[in-house]
Formats: sequence, structure tokens, C-alpha cells
Amino acid sequence: MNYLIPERYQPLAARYVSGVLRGAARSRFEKLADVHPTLQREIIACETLLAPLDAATVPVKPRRRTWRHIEIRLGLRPRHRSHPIFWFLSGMLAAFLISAAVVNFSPQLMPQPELPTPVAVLNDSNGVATMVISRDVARRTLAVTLLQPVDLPAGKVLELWALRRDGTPRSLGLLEGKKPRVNLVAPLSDAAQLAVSIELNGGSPEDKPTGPVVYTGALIIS
Amino acid sequence: MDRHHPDVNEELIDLLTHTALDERKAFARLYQLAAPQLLGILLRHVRQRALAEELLQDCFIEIWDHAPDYRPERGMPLAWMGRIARNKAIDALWQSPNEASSAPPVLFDPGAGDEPLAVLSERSETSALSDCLRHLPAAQRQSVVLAYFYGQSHREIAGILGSPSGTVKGWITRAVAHLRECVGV
Repeated sequence: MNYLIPERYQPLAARYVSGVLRGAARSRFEKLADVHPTLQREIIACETLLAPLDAATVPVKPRRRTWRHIEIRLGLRPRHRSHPIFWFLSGMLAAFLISAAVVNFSPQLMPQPELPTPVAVLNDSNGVATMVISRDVARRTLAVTLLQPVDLPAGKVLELWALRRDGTPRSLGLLEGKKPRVNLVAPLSDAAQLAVSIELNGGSPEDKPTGPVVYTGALIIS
Repeated sequence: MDRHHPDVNEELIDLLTHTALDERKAFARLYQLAAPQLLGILLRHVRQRALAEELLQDCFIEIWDHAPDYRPERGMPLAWMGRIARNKAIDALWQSPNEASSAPPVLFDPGAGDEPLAVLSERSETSALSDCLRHLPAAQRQSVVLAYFYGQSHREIAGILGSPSGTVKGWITRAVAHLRECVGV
């Protein structure tokens, strides 16, 4: 079909720029426009015409992590940052695992835990470590240490979940305040993973996340 | 940012040129200037913050990759980047319609002072389009704004306006032709 007559390319350009030309039809039209200046000029004319509608768009400041993710995806920034807190907590994890191994062989040497023990490192969807969950045995609580800033929309709250091996979630509580902490009302022995979801203020109304699950990580020590 | 200010356009063209040469500082400045506008476009289409932020990442990956293809004669930089954003949003809606809000956008009526026509008419640089839009038959005006501004497909517009999708295609084509003649583009 000859697309280079105005009766054919003008409706296509109008539909392309207004956004209703989709899928394979749009791809075909874009390929044609790449090699036909007439179509390119028609597209630019339609864009110039309708672009002022964007003046009514309210600009929205992106979350800080969006730019970080772009840099990581383009290889402009190392994927894993040498964040001092991350390395400190990783060291603590390693130290605890070693001590736990020693304890298994020498029960009489069992230390009395004084510091909260890291039990999971939660990553975001890009695999970036975002928070460390530590257990304070004496206080029967879980504490959260942030490795990356977390931007939370107004009216939303983070909720911590324990996931059993079959994936069944159990709410552990809401993560609120500068030093979030949740009380452990039941042991974590049945849990395989921890996860954090974004919920409306007050938390999920159901026994499972109703908002997006944004951070997950394996429970290293139950 | 005033997208129509010549200095802003010149700076964006300059930043795109330097981004094409893999200059990271130029790319960072380009993001700083253009990302809020593009996120606004994405949010308007998909109406989900997390998805819009993901699509914004995809937009700037494409802008980085295709900056060498940009030529000023191919349109204003924000129109070029806006097209990338709109296409990302449309593709996301097309491939996973459930990911975005299924709530239809609120229909506007120029007489009621709703967006976007009310915003357009307040600005001298956009008042020509606003005046011409007001002279279109209501169905044509609503079709073109629902498509361009809210990212609705012709089938969705047909559902909202209660008309066959073929009729909606015709309305959009006639609306754009009339607007071009009226504005003089």
C-alpha cells in the first residue's frame, strides 16, 4: 500500500501522535517514518500542534532512587555501593554465623546476646540492599536499619511480613518512625523470608499485603 | 520549567547533544530538568506511582541510548522526550492493562472550567490551541484529549462516549485536521 499520499498518512499521523495507533500498527508506522521525511514532517506538525496540551501536566518530582536505578542500569554507577553500614552489618552477620557454628559444638560457650542480631537483608526489585532487619532477643523485637533512603507517599506506611515456605504471609507489624521496631509476638521458626509492602495508613486490612511488595529477603536465622 | 521558553529549549538541545557524547553531567542535568514533566505525563496515563517511576527509568534509558538520533528539526526536545514517555505508558497499558488504574478519567467540559482546557486558556502561549479546541464539536474535542492527554485507546474512548471505535478514529482524524488548520501548524 502506498502510504505517501496525504489521504493515507495524515490520518495515521494524527492517530499516531494522539496515541491511539498501537502495537504492530504503530511499529510499522514508525519504521516507515524513519525512512520517509514526508511522514516525519507530518508527525512533527501534529506533535507541535498537540504538545501545548502538556502545559496542563503537573510536574512531579521523582523519587531519589529512580535516578540511582537509572545510573545502575546504564552502568554509570556500581551496582553495589560500599555503604559503611552495609559492610558493618554484613560483618556482624558473618560473625554471628561463625559464633552460631561454634555454639553448636560447644554449648557451654553460648554467649549472651547483647546487640540486636541481623536476621535478614531486604533488597528492592533491582537487588539493591535497602534495609537490614535485626532481632533483639532480650526485648523480643525486630529493628530496622535503612541502607538506602525510602521515599514513602503521603498517607502510606510500610508493613513488615514473615513469609512461610509455602508463601503464606503473616504480618509482623508496621514500620513507623525514624527507628522502626516491631514486637515479636510469635517466633520466626516457620518463616523463610521477610518482606515489606506499602500499605495505606493503618496497614493492610487483610491477612496479606494489599499494596505492592517492595523489599524482600531470605531469613538467615530463624 | 517553562517548556516554551526559548532558553529552556536551547539548554535541552545542548544537553541532549552532550548526552549523545556520553557526558554524564549533561545527562544528569537533563534528568533534573525533564524528569518531573515526564513523570507527570506518565502518572497521568498509568495513574500508579510505582509503575510510573519504573517507566521513567525506561524513558531515560531510551533517551540515553537514542540521544545521538535527536535532531532539533525533529521537534522540540520536550516533545521528543514526551513522545517517548507517552509510548512507554501506552505500551504498559497495552501489555498489562490491569497494572494501571482501571478507573476512567474524568470527562472534562470546557464550560465547567475543568483541566486541561482551563489551564491552557490561562497561558498566552497555549491559548490558540485552547480557542481552537473550544470550537470543535464536543465528541471530537473529548476524543482527542482523552487520547493524547489521558492515554485512552480508541476502544476505551468508544466505551466512554458510547460510540463505535471506527467513529472515534474518524473524530480524532477530523479533530487534528481542523486544529491544524485553525492553529496554522
